[in-house]
Amino acid sequence: MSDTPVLAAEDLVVEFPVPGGVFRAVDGVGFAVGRGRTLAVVGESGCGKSTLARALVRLLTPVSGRILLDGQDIARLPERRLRPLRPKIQMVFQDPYGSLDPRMTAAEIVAEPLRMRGLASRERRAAEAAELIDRVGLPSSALERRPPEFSGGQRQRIGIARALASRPEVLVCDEVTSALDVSVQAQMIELLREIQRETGIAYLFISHNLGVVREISDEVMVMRGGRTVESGPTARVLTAPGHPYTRALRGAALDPSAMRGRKPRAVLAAALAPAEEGAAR
Amino acid sequence: MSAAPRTTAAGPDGTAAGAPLLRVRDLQIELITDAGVVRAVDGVSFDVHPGETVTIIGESGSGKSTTAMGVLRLLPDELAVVSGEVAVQGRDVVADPRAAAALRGRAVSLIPQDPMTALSPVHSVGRQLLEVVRLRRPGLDRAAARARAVELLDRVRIPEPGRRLRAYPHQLSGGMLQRVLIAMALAGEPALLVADEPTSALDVTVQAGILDLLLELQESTGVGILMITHDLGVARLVSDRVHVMRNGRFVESGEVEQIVGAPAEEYTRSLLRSVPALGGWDGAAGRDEPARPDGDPS
Repeated sequence: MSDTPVLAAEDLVVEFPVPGGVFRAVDGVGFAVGRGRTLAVVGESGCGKSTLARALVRLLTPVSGRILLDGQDIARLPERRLRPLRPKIQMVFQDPYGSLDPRMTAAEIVAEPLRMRGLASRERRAAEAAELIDRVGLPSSALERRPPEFSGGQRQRIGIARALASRPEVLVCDEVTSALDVSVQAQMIELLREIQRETGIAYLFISHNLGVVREISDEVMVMRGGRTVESGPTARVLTAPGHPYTRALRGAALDPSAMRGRKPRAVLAAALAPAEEGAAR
Repeated sequence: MSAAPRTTAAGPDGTAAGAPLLRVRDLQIELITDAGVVRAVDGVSFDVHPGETVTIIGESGSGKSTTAMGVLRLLPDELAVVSGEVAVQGRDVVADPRAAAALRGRAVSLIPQDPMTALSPVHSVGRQLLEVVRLRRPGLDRAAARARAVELLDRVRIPEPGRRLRAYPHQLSGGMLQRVLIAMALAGEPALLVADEPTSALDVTVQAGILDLLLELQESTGVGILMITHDLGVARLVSDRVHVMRNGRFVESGEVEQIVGAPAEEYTRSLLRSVPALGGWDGAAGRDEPARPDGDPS
């Protein structure tokens, strides 16, 4: 059983109705993530990465393909049978401003999944919520405050605490650092790594930032137009990308410490040729 | 605190001799908010000379965008109190707000942050571009103004510029819209561009095209650029000089190689450490490969 990937997808297809037909946002994607591992999904706007995330946690229902959570296919399970499985796979959202109920306190937000998990005692829930708030690095004074009183980074921590409350085996993180300042982003990555070391949780980490992906992931899958264009170990894909689109993405990632000379326009060359050809699509 | 304002800004290549396009001295901006008066910009000084890019880098709330908006006098008088000296081509826009109105869109143009919301959705791109073309050159007849608009779209590398004039903003991608906005900025034939996070709403491959365009425009026209960004990679690529801003002040100022390669201030070092390193790759062009020039073990 321990060899079974905690999360896998096979030939997954997600479509949306549009005037005059359907739009295929995810088009035959497959991958596998082992326990305690991190798979990064990389791509630009419209590539289908957020739709993939929403399908994996079954906020959307795929038209075909399989989503194997601990070996069990949840791709098209009805809600009644899905509900007991939902705690196993949780999601942290991109927008730290829109994904928390502004009228609830941090303690209430984090305690809600505990009640769903069957913790009947109010005191037990409060105690565990306090532990989770502490675990994500917020002070106990945060417990009785509401989302508008927190910074973006603090809200993202509350979102992580809420997700962890269900004791998930997999956490889907959709651009969780992209709205944050770079110093806050670094703290967030460190927090996620610590939690992974302690709990053995697996991450599916969606990002457009290759630097962040390099810090956090073991493997990476590059998406474009709903399809996977390249996947493999993160170190290999970032040092020797195979697909022209991955090479354009890699060339467009600006690492300040890797540049030499004044206004080195040539740095952009690798990003431009294939990207402009692609832009005509 | 250690960063003394540069009073002479001649670059190492000597291009920056002569009067600056933009001279800012002890700029202070107080914003009037519900929570009281906030000093968002607390005494910053800098120059931008022809042909050079000066970047203000900082995190959210540092005051970098407020500085840019203050320089352009785009902050409403009832919400912001601006003091100090801001001279655009020698004319002080703090002392004389009418000078600011006369210079904006001519001597100095803004490239805004979010291209998706900067244009009116109910008018075509062409109509909005023609409006600024006519402001700058009121003598042009309809056909000549249109020809100028097509020329500007071509200048920012928009394919089929004649056809794009009829497009509405929602029909164009974010990168195309940012090119349109750069074309509108260029319509004023400015000596100075103020670019406020011009690529932060864009995908990275699209960002690469916009930054390449700005670098090329500067090479060919000598336009001065005041760049506002939170992105150290962008700052390293486009800048001659960099000012690191925090809590309304410049923490550190210097040539770009020094700020990124050998920062003197702990805050600058911590910012640089926060940027995830990408390491080398087999497609790296024009850069020898990176031992991270850090030297700071902490």
